[in-house]
Amino acid sequence: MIKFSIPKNYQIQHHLKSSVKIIDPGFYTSIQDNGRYGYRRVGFPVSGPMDKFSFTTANKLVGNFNNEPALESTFKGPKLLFSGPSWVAVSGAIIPVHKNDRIIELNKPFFCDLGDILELGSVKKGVRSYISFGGGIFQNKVFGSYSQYYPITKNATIIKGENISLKGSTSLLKHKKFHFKINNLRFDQKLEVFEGPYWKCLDNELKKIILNIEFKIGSNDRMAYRLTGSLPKNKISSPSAPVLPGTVQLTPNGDLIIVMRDGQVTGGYPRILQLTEKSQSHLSQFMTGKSINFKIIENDISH
Amino acid sequence: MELKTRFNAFGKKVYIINIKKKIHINSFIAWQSELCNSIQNNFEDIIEDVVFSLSEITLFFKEIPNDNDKKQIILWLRNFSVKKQNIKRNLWEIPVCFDPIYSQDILNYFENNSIAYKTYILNFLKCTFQVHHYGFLPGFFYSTGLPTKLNLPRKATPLKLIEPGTLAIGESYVGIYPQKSPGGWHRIGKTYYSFFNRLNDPPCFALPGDKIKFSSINLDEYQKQNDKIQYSKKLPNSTSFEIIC
Repeated sequence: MIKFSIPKNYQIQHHLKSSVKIIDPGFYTSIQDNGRYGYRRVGFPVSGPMDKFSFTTANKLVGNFNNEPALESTFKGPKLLFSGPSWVAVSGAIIPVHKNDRIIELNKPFFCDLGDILELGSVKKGVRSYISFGGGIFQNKVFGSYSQYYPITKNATIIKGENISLKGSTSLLKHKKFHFKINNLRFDQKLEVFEGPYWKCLDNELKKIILNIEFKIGSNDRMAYRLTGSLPKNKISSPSAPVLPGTVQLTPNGDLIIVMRDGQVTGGYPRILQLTEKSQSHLSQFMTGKSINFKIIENDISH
Repeated sequence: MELKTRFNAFGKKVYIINIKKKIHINSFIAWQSELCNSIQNNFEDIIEDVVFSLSEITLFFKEIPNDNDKKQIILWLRNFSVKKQNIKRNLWEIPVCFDPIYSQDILNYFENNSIAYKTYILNFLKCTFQVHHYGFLPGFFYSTGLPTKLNLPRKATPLKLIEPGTLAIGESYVGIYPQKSPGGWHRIGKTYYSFFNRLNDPPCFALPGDKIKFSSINLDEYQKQNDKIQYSKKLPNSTSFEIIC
């Protein structure tokens, strides 16, 4: 006979079901967890939070140490009505947050209960905000993940009038004593990169230009960031090959495309650089028009 | 099998390996796809994803791998390569409408020379393609089998919107857009079959190594069938075959 014990707080956590109603979804708000893995071979993007660091911070603040699904909003945040109790935290972009009429500080857990209205305004600095709930969002996983991505999930974003169930863990006691450092968002323009598989095939002149000029952010979304600089046109072609979030590709026009979380799993342009995880988070808080440059850091020694 | 024991780093948790097996390229695709399934099943504690393309296999580790993890995988790869495999695959028949409204890109490419355009489509219809790998979008497969003389370059600037069901050519590859998306390939036709359905299990019916033959239908027939089939779970006609390698 196999014996196992149920943690003491198990019952409590799962009886306190709660939910939020979406009064206004904001500009582009989706449910994101760590991502959808194991399906790249049928072309599924990994999805997950664009700014993983703020997402993790928001989760830790409400005691979710395993990164539970949270809401990711873009520019303008959502307005939510609570139909039960939950600990909540907001991290990421600098954005006004109100609970009913009270101002709420970013990066600090607060409690919401039946009838409370949480409203995020428009970003003052940065792009993406993360709203976490104690215990996380309670939904069915689709292909192993809660992350929204159409057509894998029914919708690409949360929609007006929708009810989102929460796991509703109301206990923060265990984690109150746990301290961790919250780094402020950085807005300097340097992005750290590793050399990509194609880097060593570029001629030295082009490498030098890439590392010395500024690039301006053009159109961007959860799939990719397009950057323009003053790179010459080129005729480099490379066979379609796997790409991942953070891969910098060089197009024949001399523009760069950086693959992001909902980006494709293979790409047909040469993969010249690879952003570190930190720099991916960093970039995802930048909007169109911002200038950036690249700095190569030592790659892992390969064996 | 030739196996490069070198893992090429791509960031910190991703490694590229190059594998060659001395079998015909057509069998190699199916073999490589079985290999990837097997790696994922056998190393699910350390590997979160495996992707392959024409030139490489890419391993996505859950954490930064140590030397021992890498050695273990190389040993396993060597063993896998000497085992005999019987692999079942399908030949799919896909009806496609090549009406100029869906193949405008080809007409533009040949600068409205209708003879060159028609010849191109006739030659295209003679080919049998093989699903190589998925990428770009859920359910978008890259298939090989386009003769070099029919290759078309990618467009310098991608189109903002391509309709689902669009059959298109990008260099030596042929693919079908499973959903609305931007795209830089030349559109040649349109089918009413859906190559990705989240309600089906598995969501994509075509496997790497499967063969594909296109047949031409006119616009009337396309529209009639499109209304009937587009949102159903109906699969195209197929015949199965076996690959031993």
